[in-house]
Amino acid sequence: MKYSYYYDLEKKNRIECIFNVLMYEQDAKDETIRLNFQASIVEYKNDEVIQSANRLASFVLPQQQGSQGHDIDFHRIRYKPENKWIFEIRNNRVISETLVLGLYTDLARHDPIGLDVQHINNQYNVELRGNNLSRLQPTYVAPTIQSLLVNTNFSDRRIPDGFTSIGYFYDHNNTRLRLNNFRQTYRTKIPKKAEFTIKASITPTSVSGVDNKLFEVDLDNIGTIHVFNHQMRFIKVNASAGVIKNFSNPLSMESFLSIPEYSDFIIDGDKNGNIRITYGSEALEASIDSFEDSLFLAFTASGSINHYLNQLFVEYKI
Amino acid sequence: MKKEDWRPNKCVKVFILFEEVHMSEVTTKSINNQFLRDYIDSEIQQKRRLESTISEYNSLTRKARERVVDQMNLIQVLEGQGGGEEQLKTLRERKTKDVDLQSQSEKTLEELKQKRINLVADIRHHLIELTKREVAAGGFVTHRIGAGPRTNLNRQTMNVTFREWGQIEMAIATDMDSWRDSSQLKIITKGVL
Repeated sequence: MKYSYYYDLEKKNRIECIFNVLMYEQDAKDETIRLNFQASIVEYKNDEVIQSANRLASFVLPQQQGSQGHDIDFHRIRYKPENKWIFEIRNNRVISETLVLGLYTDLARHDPIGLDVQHINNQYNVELRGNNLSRLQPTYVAPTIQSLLVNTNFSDRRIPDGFTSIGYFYDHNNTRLRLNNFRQTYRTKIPKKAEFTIKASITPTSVSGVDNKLFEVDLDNIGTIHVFNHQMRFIKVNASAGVIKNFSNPLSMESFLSIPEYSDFIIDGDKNGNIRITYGSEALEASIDSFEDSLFLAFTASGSINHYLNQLFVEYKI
Repeated sequence: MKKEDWRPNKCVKVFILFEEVHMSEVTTKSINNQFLRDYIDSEIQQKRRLESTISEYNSLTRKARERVVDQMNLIQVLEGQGGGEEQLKTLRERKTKDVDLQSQSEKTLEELKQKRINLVADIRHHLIELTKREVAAGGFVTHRIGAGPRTNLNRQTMNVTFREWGQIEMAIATDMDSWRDSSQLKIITKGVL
């Protein structure tokens, strides 16, 4: 079943809630039906997919022949206070089987102008009843939406959407990139009050650069992290002074080569504006202002020294 | 129906023109809600027919444009070859006719699209009112449905059966900025329908 809420008459901007049955198996003896399906909620802007959430699941529908009542409930919830669109699929025959998917999107702030519903599976026919639009209970609590923006370990030559780098080289023996700069622009911004995690695996080729500086990472609307071989500095956006963390042991090439965790460059932010930056297995804690959403992260190596990028992961929860 | 015309007594008058009903037995409020439902349903049907016409005109316009381009190319080729005056004259006349056809077609298409905009605005206006009333009374409003190909709509129960790739549209217009839109699905194994 595909529910398509459109926001313009050409139907190029829309939210689609899709229930796509991949396998439909009817048991001849006890007349139960097993459905393996993919549930998706997709946002289209100008006919292009901006973001989507997908899950695979399975429902069992007992005693089909001559059964009363209905099999599956579909709820499409628009929740403006938190900018969320939610798709709930419930097995009416086995109440514990429920799936909830959602998107954090601008479109939840606007009114759709129409809804098209299409039966997209040809293995069975369906009847749709109880098609109602209702008020949300005042006690309704929207689920937390988890949005994975980037997730790659460069196991093949492909670079993620929105990733740019001048002069990078793909090291296919170790499935990593060798570069001295890159910028990752996210398809949808990290919302300002969201919990987020950014993780990159960055290994320098030398730790003795000018002023002992290795690299800096600029997080849009959050701040800049300067990494030296003896310390890390975080300067939040629009500030001049920052927080400094001195490494108890200066970073050395031996450590990078022998301890894989050393290369993990991790930024964890919570919804109260606290962030924790980890590198070389040491952490710096600071607070940020969270006035704006964050669109990108940019890495610049000091003195064009090459670094290896093995992994890039960006996710938020809201 | 313009917004200013929308007053209960006027609605009742219009209603009488179409049907003979025992007016005294039904409250004004429920007549108006039913009127709204029927009105919106008929506008949805209109909109579906309009969409179909727009789609045909899109196709027509595109073909007219292609013909004009083809003819212009042909004329250029013939001129280059120093072709016969008679031939060129015929081609140029044909091209002029096709250019006229194209612009007529484009004009009609624009008018149809404007009609659609107005129709959607009208549906929206009436549906916002119906939704407000029904949600205030019972917490929900039953969707007004336009049945498309390979579907069967039962107007009594508002249940729809779909065969493969069947499609319907549901009108949606409300001033609630958060809501729950629900459907109950029953699988009908093939061969039974």
